[in-house]
Amino acid sequence: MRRAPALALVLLSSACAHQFGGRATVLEEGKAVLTPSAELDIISVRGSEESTNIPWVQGGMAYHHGIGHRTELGLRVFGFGIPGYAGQFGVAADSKFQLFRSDDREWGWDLSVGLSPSWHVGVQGDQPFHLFGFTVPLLVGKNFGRHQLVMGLKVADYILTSYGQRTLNTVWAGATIGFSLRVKRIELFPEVAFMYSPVKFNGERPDEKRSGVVYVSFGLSVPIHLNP
Amino acid sequence: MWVVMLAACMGSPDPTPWCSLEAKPGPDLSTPTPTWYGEAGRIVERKCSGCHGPGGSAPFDLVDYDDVAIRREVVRRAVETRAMPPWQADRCCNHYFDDRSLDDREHAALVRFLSEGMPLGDPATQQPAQTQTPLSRVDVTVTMPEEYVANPPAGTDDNRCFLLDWPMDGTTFITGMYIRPGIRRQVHHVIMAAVKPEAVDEITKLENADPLAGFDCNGGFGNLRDIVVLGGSVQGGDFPRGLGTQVVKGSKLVLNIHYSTLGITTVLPDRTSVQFKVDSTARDAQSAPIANPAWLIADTMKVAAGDPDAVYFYKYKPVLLTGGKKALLQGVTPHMHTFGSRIKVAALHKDGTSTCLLEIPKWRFGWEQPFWFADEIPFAPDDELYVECHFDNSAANQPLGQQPKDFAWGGNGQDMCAAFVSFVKAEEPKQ
Repeated sequence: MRRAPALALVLLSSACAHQFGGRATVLEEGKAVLTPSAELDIISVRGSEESTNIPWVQGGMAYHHGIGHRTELGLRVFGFGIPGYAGQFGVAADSKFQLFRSDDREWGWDLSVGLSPSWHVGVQGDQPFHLFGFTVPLLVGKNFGRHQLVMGLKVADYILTSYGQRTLNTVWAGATIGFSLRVKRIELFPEVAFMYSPVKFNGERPDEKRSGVVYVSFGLSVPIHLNP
Repeated sequence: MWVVMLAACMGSPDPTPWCSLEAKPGPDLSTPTPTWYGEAGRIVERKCSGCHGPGGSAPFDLVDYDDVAIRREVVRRAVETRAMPPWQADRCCNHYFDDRSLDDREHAALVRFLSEGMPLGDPATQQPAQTQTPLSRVDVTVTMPEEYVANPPAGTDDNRCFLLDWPMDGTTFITGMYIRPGIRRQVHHVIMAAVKPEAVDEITKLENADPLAGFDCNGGFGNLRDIVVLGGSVQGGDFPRGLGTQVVKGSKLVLNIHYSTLGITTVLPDRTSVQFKVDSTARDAQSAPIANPAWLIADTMKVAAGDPDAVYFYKYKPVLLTGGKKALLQGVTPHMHTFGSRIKVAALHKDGTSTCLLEIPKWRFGWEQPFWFADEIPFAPDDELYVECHFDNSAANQPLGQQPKDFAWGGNGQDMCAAFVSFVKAEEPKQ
């Protein structure tokens, strides 16, 4: 039965899929960014005796556009899979609102908050597992010239549903840290995300209780400014 | 609206009716009462005496006329309700290898014989005996390392697991097995599994943590990882069609014994043995589990207190296991605990039809066992495996003295919904 918890882990962890939140600075009006990305994710269920850790990878592509002087909207798609066997795919609608922007554009601090409703589907043996949810990141950015250190707090709520199961609501909270290195119209943006959910995980043995899921993601995105 | 839409994603069970729930025709009363020397004795010999006879696991003999006459009412009740012979799979769904159950004709004949005076009949008309399928060769015998005295945690049932050494070096195939109970009257039935080397330490810990011999196994094999069910029930024999289960060096065996102390005043120490037929090569039967992995998370398989018929179901294409190629299904092992009331396993085809693999209309955890198909069943790359479990969490189906409470997937006090379909990959025709 080891395959079953492994699959369950991937399904659950997929709720956090694709952590990229971008800079804490909202795009200026009319500016657009196209962002390919890749990430290595590790999910770990905390057990009473041992933890179960599952790694996987996924890629993503996002488009974001500045609307007005404080708002940015965008769309992300992400996923990974082997057609016909197993895979996962997701789409998220991103919005970001500038709460504060320093007058010192080169060395000051910026603050923004986002809201990303998403739908994500994991497929195993042609059987879909749907995840619907919202992610709210609060991003703090410290500018270093054209570059930015981005620290974030993040909360998320996801609903998991599939054929033959009761719907499951999971709440996640965590933090992210990344650094955006701007070179001309391209950024290199490594980012690490850490998320935790207190969701109960049923043991496979009577004496085995599992509680809590930890998710760690190592991502690298490459935002390309289309009209700098 | 949002909640309703999400709930709709759960879908609905496969609409194919359960054949085992359809009304069956009553016995034909126009014929003479079956006699012992006629049909009845032959049925008892073929379907009862294997366990209820010398070397069998049942607590008393049912070999000759007097054995049956002494326990006539007990036997009649057990046969009439189909509690005996212990074979949960309904014949309407599929045909099984070494099927011990009574077909409708045999059932009617035996019930009439027991209800209508047990006529002896004419010895001259005695029909020839048919022998049971024996184990064709005994290569290895494995015995419990120490005695165990059944100690039911509640009631009269004690499910106990014992970790046993596998004495063979290298990779071998178990191609048959036969149970040799130590104390027949107490050993209700047995299931045997091979433990892969990577799981031996984990199960050893379980055994070491228990002060008595073996360890508690009231959740059945569903709680153990990296095991391959070999077979079991009450007897055994050669596996069909040259099938075998691969056992690699470093593996161990888990012997799951269901002890019943019903009607026993003095419980004796038991030391059961299992005989194996072993070959260096065999058709390697692999196992495809059917269970929704999401059921392992929180309350996604919640059964509410008082619910008399909660149903959970799941289907998928086992392409990761079959490689997306044709397979030949060999057998099925269902798994629920004591709240399970009925279970169905099927192969769903792309054209909307289905092949019934197993229907158990009245689940009894105490008689959990694998079922080999009489003939292997083709399974196409686009076919899906389907399981449907019903649970009774009403007040009438609780452990002694307990009130209903919510449960989900889990061990003691909870339940599971799973089936394990054994298969071999179909050989591709050579060009």
